Amino acid sequence: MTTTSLPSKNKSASLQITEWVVIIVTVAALLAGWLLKNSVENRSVPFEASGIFAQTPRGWLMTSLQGNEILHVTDPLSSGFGTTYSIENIPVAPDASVGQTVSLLTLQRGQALTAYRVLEQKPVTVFGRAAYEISYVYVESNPNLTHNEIPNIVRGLDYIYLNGDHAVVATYWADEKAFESDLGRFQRFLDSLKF
Amino acid sequence: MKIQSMYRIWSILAVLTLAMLACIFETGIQPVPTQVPQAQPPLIPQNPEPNSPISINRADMIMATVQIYALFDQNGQLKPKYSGSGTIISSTGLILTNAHVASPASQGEPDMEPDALAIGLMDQEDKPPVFLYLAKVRAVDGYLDLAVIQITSTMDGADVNPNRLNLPFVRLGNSDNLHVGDHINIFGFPGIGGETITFTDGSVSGFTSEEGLGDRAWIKTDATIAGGNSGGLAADDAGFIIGVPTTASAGTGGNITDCRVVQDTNGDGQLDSNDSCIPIGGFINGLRPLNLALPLIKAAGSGEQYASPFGGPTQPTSTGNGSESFSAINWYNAEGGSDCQVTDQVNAFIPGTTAMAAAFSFSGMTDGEPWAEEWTVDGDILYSSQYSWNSGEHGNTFTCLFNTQSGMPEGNYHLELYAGQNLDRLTQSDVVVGGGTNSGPSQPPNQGVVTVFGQVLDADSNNPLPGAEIYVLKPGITYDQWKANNFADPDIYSFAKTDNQGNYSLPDRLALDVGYTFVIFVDGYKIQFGDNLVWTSQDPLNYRWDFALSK
Repeated sequence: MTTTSLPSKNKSASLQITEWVVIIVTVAALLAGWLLKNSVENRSVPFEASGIFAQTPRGWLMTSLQGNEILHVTDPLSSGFGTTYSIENIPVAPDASVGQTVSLLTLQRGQALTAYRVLEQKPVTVFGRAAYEISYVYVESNPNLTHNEIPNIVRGLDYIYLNGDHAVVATYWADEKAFESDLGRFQRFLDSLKF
Repeated sequence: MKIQSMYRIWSILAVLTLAMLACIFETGIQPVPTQVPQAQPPLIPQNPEPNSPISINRADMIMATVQIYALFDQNGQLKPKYSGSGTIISSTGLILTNAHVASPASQGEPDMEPDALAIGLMDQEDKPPVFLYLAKVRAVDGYLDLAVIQITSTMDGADVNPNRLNLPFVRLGNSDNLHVGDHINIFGFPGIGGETITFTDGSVSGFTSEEGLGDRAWIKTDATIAGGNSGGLAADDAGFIIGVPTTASAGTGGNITDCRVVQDTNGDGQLDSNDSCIPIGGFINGLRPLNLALPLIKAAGSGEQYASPFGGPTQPTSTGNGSESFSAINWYNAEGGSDCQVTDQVNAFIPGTTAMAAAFSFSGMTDGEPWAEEWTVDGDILYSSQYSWNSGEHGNTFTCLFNTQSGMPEGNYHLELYAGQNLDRLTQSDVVVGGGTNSGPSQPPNQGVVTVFGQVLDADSNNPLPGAEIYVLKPGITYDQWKANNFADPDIYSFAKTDNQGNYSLPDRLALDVGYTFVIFVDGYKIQFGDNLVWTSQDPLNYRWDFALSK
């Protein structure tokens, strides 16, 4: 005598429940991860100098300031060239045009950055405030040529705001590969910029 | 069972994919919260009208016109002091411009010779030029006020291969084929900083002869050309360059026009009258015909040395006889620009004055000897130039300073005139334009008038000492007193630090007949100091004082 087990309706129902549990747990885990990631990314610390306020990402390294810089922070976790935000507060004539600042800024960048190339420049409105955007690219290379490493291609964005007798320049530098993906966070930084 | 497993796996995968997509969209590209207020015109006008060669050529002309910044080393960084225009005349980066833009030394102003020339190229015609290259002078003629420069490197100093530049350029025309009434197109950058390219429409209104240059030394035009266009492009309707917009020399006097502060030159965080301003030329009254530039272009293109057959207009031919004398200066209102006409005598100038003349009598002069003028306003040099004397042994003359565009800046003016082999100061005067910044002249007798500058060197090697500190103590305080006072800051009247070449210039002027203590300090060297150092009216107002320090 042989016995044969028949398909059980209860077993099928139990399987369906298991599937749904797996799906729900997966979605919940992803959602929790996403929320955690967002909360980590959105953690910020307030910054204030020379009457300029902003929310800078928490945990970023604040590095030494050059020239008219009042802020220079770098993401220590970014690979390749460290994603960097900078704010400069440049004195300008009260009747200066934004073009004057643009010329002097490109002149300065051209001297300081290797293979500096302007990709686009245009007047824009950023979160309701008139600004001038310069998009550019340059090469960041270790000056020690004995290091066997490939130079980084860095993309930069300057937002120039005229503010009375000063021009506020908010800058975003990121590795070419990370530029687009990190842009959203920089936009939140721009949104937080007050002066 | 197999079907169910597959179903389960696919369900999970689908959910995971959706979740991943959600994450990607959250952290990825977001619409930039910016809006461009107006449509961006194309780089070069598209679809030019058929049979409209002028439209096509104008686009080419625009792309071949460059802005030139004269850069000067300030603490290791190159910063612009003045600007001009130029025209790219070969794809390899040869640029035709004015000598006074590229090399003021060729016109007798070595102090204004820039350390580098930055070349700003057009990207979009409604946007400021972008400075991408540095150029060097290849051929210059101070007499013709023409120069050819060559792009040699990128802004960061990396050499470029001219043969791979492939830049837009304008072809050379023949200025001898021009006729009165011919239409001309003039392009340039009228001012410094952020100015977009400017087009000026005009016609040939005539020609001016000049000894040694023939009947076509200048092309006269009815176009009103702003000063910053100096060295720019003048082209015919076929798109050939036929001339260079150039301010014709009109003897003495200068046109400061706009003197615009664009940089925080003293580093105090503010842009104000304490910062050096960048003069922008007035109105250009002529074009140098292209054919006069052909020998320079040929020399620059072939690498040959160019020597001007004309000499220089400001090159002194005499050292003078040592008995030069200028009288006190009387001030006059004046009219016009480079053809300055003196009108009525004044003690001060009203706001909005466009030209001011300083009249004086002279004796003991020799034609061909050097003389110079220096104008300052509120202590800052506004205009200075050196000339070759050509007004005879004695008589009366005047020199003008003018700004036909926006009037003379208000302030306390100080003029000094020099002459002779050593350019000794022969006379000086103060006058106020507008309300001035003080109630009286800018430099009353016992306020600072002497500018001290110089170099600090190693006494043994004669090498310059960068980073040397020069302290000037307040009158009455000796070095020993300062030392006893623990080198207190309030005792310091002025301070300067030498640059990489060991040069310094005290930011504060010294008063005459007042005793000062100088202290020079360099790490590793013996301190050098001197008490009760007095400058008198016999000393030059720009006093050079070098120090040699021993270890």
